[in-house]
Amino acid sequence: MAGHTRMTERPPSEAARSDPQLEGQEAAEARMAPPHLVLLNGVTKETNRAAPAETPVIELGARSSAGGGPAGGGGAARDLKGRDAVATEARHRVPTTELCRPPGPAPAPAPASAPAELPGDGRMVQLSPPALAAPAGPGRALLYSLSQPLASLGSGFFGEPDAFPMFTNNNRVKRRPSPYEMEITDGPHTKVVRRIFTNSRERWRQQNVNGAFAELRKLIPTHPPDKKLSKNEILRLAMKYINFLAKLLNDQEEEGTQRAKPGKDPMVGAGGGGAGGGIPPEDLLQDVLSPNSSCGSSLDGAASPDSYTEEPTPKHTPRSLHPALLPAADGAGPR
Amino acid sequence: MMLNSDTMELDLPPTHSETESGFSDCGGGPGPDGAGSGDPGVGQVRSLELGESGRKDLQHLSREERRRRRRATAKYRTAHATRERIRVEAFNLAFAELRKLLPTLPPDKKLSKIEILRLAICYISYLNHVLDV
Repeated sequence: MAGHTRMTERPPSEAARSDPQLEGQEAAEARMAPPHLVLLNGVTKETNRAAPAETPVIELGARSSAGGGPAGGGGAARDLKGRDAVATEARHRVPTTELCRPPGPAPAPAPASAPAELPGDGRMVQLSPPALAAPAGPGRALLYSLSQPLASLGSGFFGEPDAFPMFTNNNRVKRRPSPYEMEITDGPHTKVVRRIFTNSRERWRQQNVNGAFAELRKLIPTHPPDKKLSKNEILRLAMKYINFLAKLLNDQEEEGTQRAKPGKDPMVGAGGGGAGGGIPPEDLLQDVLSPNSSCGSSLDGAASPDSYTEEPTPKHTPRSLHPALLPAADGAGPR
Repeated sequence: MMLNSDTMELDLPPTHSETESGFSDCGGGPGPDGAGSGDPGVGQVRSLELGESGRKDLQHLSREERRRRRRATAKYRTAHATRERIRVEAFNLAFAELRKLLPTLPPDKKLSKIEILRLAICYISYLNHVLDV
């Protein structure tokens, strides 16, 4: 009764504030009047008039007088949704009006569907304890049914899009008495999807690392060739093999140029060869440039599946070289 | 892989000690076994009068029970955590050493593990190609 009296007191101030709102309300009333009862029309009018109000003192008083449960929830929702003033005001008042009606089975979640996902999550947190027993199937059906009318309303009405979808949502929600299910299904879905996405990404990253270990293992000569190695052993043998190849390359360059160059980096050695001049140095320089580009491309595509397609191409050369290098590696081992 | 191998290596010596202790218990006689633990295996041993199957069941149960008890102790958990930390440290150290052998601009560029692996593959392929020529 107190809520009703306060609702009746508000209309004159709202009417004085803006005329286009009144015109919009009149149009809405004309459209909605035929298919609904007098009581429903009265309730919808009150909610529309209450939406544009911006008096915090009056709102706080109304909430405290209305009741403890929905008022507390409304306060929390308002704290979470500070951006949309009109939407928050509408959301706060809808449960109050429904509490005033004895025949109402459950409050209307219409304002929850209109805003973004975050406000839905906020309400989800508030309403989860009382609605745990509700099934998920009807909730999903409600989500699909409500999303379509919202889109149609947005395209149909030009003026005051916030007020009109409330009408339709309220009416349809009243027809189907299961509002909590929709909110329940929205929250868990978001959390589950996020968790699955994170797990899939981590699994994919780990598979990439293991794939790279497998490819590196193929390049390392061992006896027998398919010997099982741990990750640590693969890394240490790769270091020994790289050092061996670099030393072998330096020895060949020394023999070719008949000069002693202690450069550890094979690229530096190749540079020295270039300084010497001649056809072989040019070939070495070209060889140095080509792997840099391939390595650059691999680095750029480290986290993308395209790098896998590029990887197979360089494998042919090392495969053919394996039998030739195996005896050399074996010879170097005991030394 | 590493965890499994470590576990297998660590379990071998305890298994031998368990086997020895099992044999010594059997040699002692049924009396002290019954008094020591109230397992159903002991009952089977008594009924079978120290048969081969009874001995196997007793050893099997005793091994599992002792292993569970040993693994449940805080001392074992601490030792396991220490070994895991050492293994991870060695793994990361190997990555750091491999990183030093790879040519990059700038030389001390920060690379992730997947990037180090891919660059090592490219570098080894390049060295094989140069030596082949």
